[in-house]
Amino acid sequence: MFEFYKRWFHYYKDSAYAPPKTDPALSQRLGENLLDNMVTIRQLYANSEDLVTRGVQVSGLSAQLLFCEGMVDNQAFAELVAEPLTSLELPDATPASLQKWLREESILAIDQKEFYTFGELFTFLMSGFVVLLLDGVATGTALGIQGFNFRGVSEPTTEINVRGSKESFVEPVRINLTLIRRRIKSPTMKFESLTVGSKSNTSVYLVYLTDCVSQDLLQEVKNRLAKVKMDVILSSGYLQPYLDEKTRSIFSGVGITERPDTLCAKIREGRIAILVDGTPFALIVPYLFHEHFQSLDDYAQRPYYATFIRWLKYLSFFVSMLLPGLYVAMVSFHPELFPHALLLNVAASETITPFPIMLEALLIHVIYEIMREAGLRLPRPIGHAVGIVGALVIGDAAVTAGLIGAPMVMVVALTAISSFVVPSLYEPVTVLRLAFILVGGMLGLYGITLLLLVVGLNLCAVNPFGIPATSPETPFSLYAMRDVLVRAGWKHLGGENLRVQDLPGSEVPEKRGGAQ
Amino acid sequence: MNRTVYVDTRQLLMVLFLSRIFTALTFTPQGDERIAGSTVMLGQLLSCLLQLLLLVPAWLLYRDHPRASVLDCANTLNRPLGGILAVLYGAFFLVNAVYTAASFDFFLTTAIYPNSSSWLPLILLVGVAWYGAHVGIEPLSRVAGFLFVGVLLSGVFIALALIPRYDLSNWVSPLYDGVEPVWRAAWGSLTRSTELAAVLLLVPMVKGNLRSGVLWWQGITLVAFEAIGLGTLLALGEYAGTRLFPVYTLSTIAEFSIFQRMDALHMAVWVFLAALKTGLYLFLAAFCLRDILPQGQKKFALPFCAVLLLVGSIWLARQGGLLVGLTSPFGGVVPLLLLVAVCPLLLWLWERMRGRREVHHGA
Amino acid sequence: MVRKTWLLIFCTLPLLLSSGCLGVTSLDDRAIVELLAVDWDGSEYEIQLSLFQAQENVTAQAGGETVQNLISGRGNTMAQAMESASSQAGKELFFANNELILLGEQAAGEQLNFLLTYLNANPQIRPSVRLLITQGAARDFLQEQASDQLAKNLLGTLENAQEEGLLSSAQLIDVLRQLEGPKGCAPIPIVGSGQEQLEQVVLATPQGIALVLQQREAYGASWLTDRVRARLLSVTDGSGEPVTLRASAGKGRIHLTETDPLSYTLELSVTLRVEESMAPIEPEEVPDLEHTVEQAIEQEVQHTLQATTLDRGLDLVGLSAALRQQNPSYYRDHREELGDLLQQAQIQVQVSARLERVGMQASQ
Repeated sequence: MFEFYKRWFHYYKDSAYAPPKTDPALSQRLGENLLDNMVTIRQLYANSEDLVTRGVQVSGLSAQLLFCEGMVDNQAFAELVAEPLTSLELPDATPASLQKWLREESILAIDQKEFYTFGELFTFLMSGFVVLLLDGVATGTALGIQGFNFRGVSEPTTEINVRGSKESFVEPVRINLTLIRRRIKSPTMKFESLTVGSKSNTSVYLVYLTDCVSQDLLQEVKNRLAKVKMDVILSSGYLQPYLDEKTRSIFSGVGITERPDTLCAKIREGRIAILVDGTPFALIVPYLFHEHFQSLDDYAQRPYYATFIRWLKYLSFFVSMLLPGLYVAMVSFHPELFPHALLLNVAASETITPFPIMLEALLIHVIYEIMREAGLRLPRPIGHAVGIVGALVIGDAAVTAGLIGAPMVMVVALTAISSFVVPSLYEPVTVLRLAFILVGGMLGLYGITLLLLVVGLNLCAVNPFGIPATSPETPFSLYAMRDVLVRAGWKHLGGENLRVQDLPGSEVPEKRGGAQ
Repeated sequence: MNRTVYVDTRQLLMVLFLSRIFTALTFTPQGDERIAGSTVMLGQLLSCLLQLLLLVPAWLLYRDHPRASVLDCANTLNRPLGGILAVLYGAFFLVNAVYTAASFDFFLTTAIYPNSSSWLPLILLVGVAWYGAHVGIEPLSRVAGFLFVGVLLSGVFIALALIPRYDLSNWVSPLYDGVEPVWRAAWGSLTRSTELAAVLLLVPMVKGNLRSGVLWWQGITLVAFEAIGLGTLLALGEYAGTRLFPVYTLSTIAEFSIFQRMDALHMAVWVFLAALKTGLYLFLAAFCLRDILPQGQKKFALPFCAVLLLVGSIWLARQGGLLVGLTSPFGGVVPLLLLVAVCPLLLWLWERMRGRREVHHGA
Repeated sequence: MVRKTWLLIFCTLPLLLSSGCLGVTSLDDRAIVELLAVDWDGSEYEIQLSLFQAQENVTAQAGGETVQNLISGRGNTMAQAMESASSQAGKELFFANNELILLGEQAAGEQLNFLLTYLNANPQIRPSVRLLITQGAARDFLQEQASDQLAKNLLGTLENAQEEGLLSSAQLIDVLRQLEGPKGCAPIPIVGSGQEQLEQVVLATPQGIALVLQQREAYGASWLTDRVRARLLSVTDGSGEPVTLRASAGKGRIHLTETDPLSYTLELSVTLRVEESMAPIEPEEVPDLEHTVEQAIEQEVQHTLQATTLDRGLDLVGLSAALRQQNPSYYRDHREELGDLLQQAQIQVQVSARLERVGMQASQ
């Protein structure tokens, strides 16, 4: 039955889209002839204007320096590369002896690497390295003296803490690595480099503690990343679907963070972090459901207050998801559940509004989402206008005009505020909220209950990397709950190490981490 | 990573407990000829002992093959016999799923939505149960973990809210009408304990000490039943006999602060339990059917069972007399005795006579 | 798989939308009933409904008042009367927030059992709805009251009366439980027009009204049937000065003697606080004061027992329930003639009073 549609769908797909392909020329090795190499480079680089080449004689031998304009630190280049090379006087210089000098007797840059293919050449070139090619040598040397502009380390924008660090990740991955390394000064913390994206050649780093991580877990992450077949990776979000389980779930088993301290805390529990060059958000796998309700501030505050805040987050999650749907269901199907005085107020407000309660709720929540999205995208100078419009649309003016009832305004306000308490769950909660409104308006509490069960089953079916997303709530572990329902004190938390692969229900074969 | 099914003993306990407690929440006195509440409580205790007795053959089989279900044992002994048992067990679970859905519909369209049609709630319930059976026993048992806490808290909340209504003068001696009503109550409770058969099939999917899990399940279920019975008796007294759903009435009269009634809580709990129980039985019915289907057709087992469930429950919801009849001794307890006690006992004896063999799950 | 998901959604949505979605009724289309009054004239039911008017309340909210509207309906059966009222209102009647039901005297006398069964079978009507009987027709009572907040006022009156120990809770669930149970009778308060507080209680049986208890008898009954929270008692102290005490008591306990199943001991513990006194209460005066209160309460209870149980065989205080608990075989064997047997019962009342605080307020 669907064959016709399948053929139609693939026709349009094939005619406009093709899967990413790797250019075979990039895997070609460098030749010994410098001129030939330069010709190939210019051809492959399509004579782009940002390529700067400079021919130079080093001890009587021809050499070429290449770099991308604006990516190199000019002063470092002059002091560390240009001056030593131009003033070098090697006795009986040959290409081999010059290469040997470069390899063993000189330090032109802290980060100095050799490469053999054109693909690697371009990767280094576009990463801000200065590339040195010698005539008569089929090897290139990359010198790391990057000087491109990047955003400085600043305060996190999405994970704001009161007592925690004010540093967040930035776009260059190497800066991020230093932010992490400064926090865990242990040789067991390892950075493992990968390259993804056939065109972008984006650097991806796996970060983990070798004595905490499970090797099976690590291998699984690598296997999944190896299946990424895209040409351009611009954000960590591009990799997220490859790391998620196949189950079609509303909730993801991959977490994100822009805080280096949070990342360090996660990898300490045996998790693996993935840093992607060019994006300030790191991925954390596996990410369990209860982690959405944890923040680093919890561990900086007193346990009793941290526990209170955690419960507040759980409550806010349910309020933001269920309150509008429950309100609609109660007004439509179960008005007997309202206290008497409240029922009279609700009935009075419903009389004056023209829309059915379900439509009213849907309308006002969609308008709220439009305003929220507009506030995100608006330029800052006129961003405050969103607040003014918002107050008019969802406020006393709308109530006075008789478009919505006053109780609905309260519901929307409470829902909106609650949704900001757990920002990592904003996406699923927003969609579920609308679904609950629909279901509540059509089927009442019965429908809401069924949908809640479906959501619960959907969540419980998620097993990121073989670990139940709902662990340790279910399968239950009383010991592990010391950091879920409550926040035990540090004297208790710091005494033993809990690894994510040790949680109940985990199917990870290797439980304890081991040094490689 | 290839995932194997993993259900903890505690999760199994919760699934079975919630499935069993469903019948308590929709208990209707007319079905049991108005037996006194205290008599029913004593009957529950007796029923618990009878259930443990019924499980003895299954325990003997489990002791010999701790990782095999009753179908695995049957298939090892005799493949055609395994097929027959698979059909019997599958039909048993399917009929119970149909009964659960139909009685759920009866309550919903009587007490909650009297103006609604009877088929729409059933379609939705079967749809959710289908999804639950599709995702498998693991998510079902994990959800049961959350529901268990929710049911416990709401039960305690309602019980506390009813404190002003408890009247000790409503207590009547359980043997007020003699011993015969006690036996009738025990028999009625036994008829509804269809989860005993579920245990026999869930054995290979459970990790941990299954025996202690089953004992805990029986103990906690007994405590819950006695608490519900006692609460109903003390709070309602003879009034319970005038209501179609006395336990639902309890939640209607429970008041606390601005909460003038808590029947919404009862309804939510009850819908959760109905969907969970139907999903569990649908899963088990499909599990049995897959045992006899050829490899390429196993994927149709669940949709087939779900469609049968939907059609059967819509039909049964309109047959009031049959709805009661399914819980009568012949309609309910005879199949249960056969499948829970007789079949495992015969398999165990046959195996003893033929000599013990290694049995694997999926044999 | 994605296609199948969307197919499922597209099939389900029309199904949901076309089915009427579980019979949803908008809140605008519901008539919220705040008070229900039922009359019976021998052949027909007449009901009066006090409805909440949402529209008028929007404009009246500034005044802090609730506007109500009275409609009526008639029919040979209650269902017909309800239908008639619903037609008049133009909306579906909604009883879930109704907290008070008035029964006319004739309706209570002749149709009580049927009415209670009808109300109990309605899933919307809460079992905790309170019942009140009016002297004469409920319709006349409502017309004489003509208050915008009649339901609220009457409920307040009922609650005050219960606080003061005039009567036990007259909720539908309690009335039915007592009628269905061994007691076989239930007290329901009765109110007449022009009365600011309740003074009489009706003893109802499944057959109708058996007895009208005056105030003193009603007070006497409530000592043993319900928890008295704040009953005012006026006694005189040793020096003849009037003392006002506030009494509270838990529910009384009934014991049977082992030898005679019809010999009862009714025990009651009362806690007293001095509310008003001409002079400070000295410690040596306390035992006498307590004894005086005990005697007063005993006399009250005895008077009630005489009027209800001993004269008419009506088990107001729960003697038969105690018999069922403590001597079930005797109860089972004599259940049918229990009313007559109770008239020969020996009932001893034992009250123990304890003065908790002697703090006083000086009178004028």
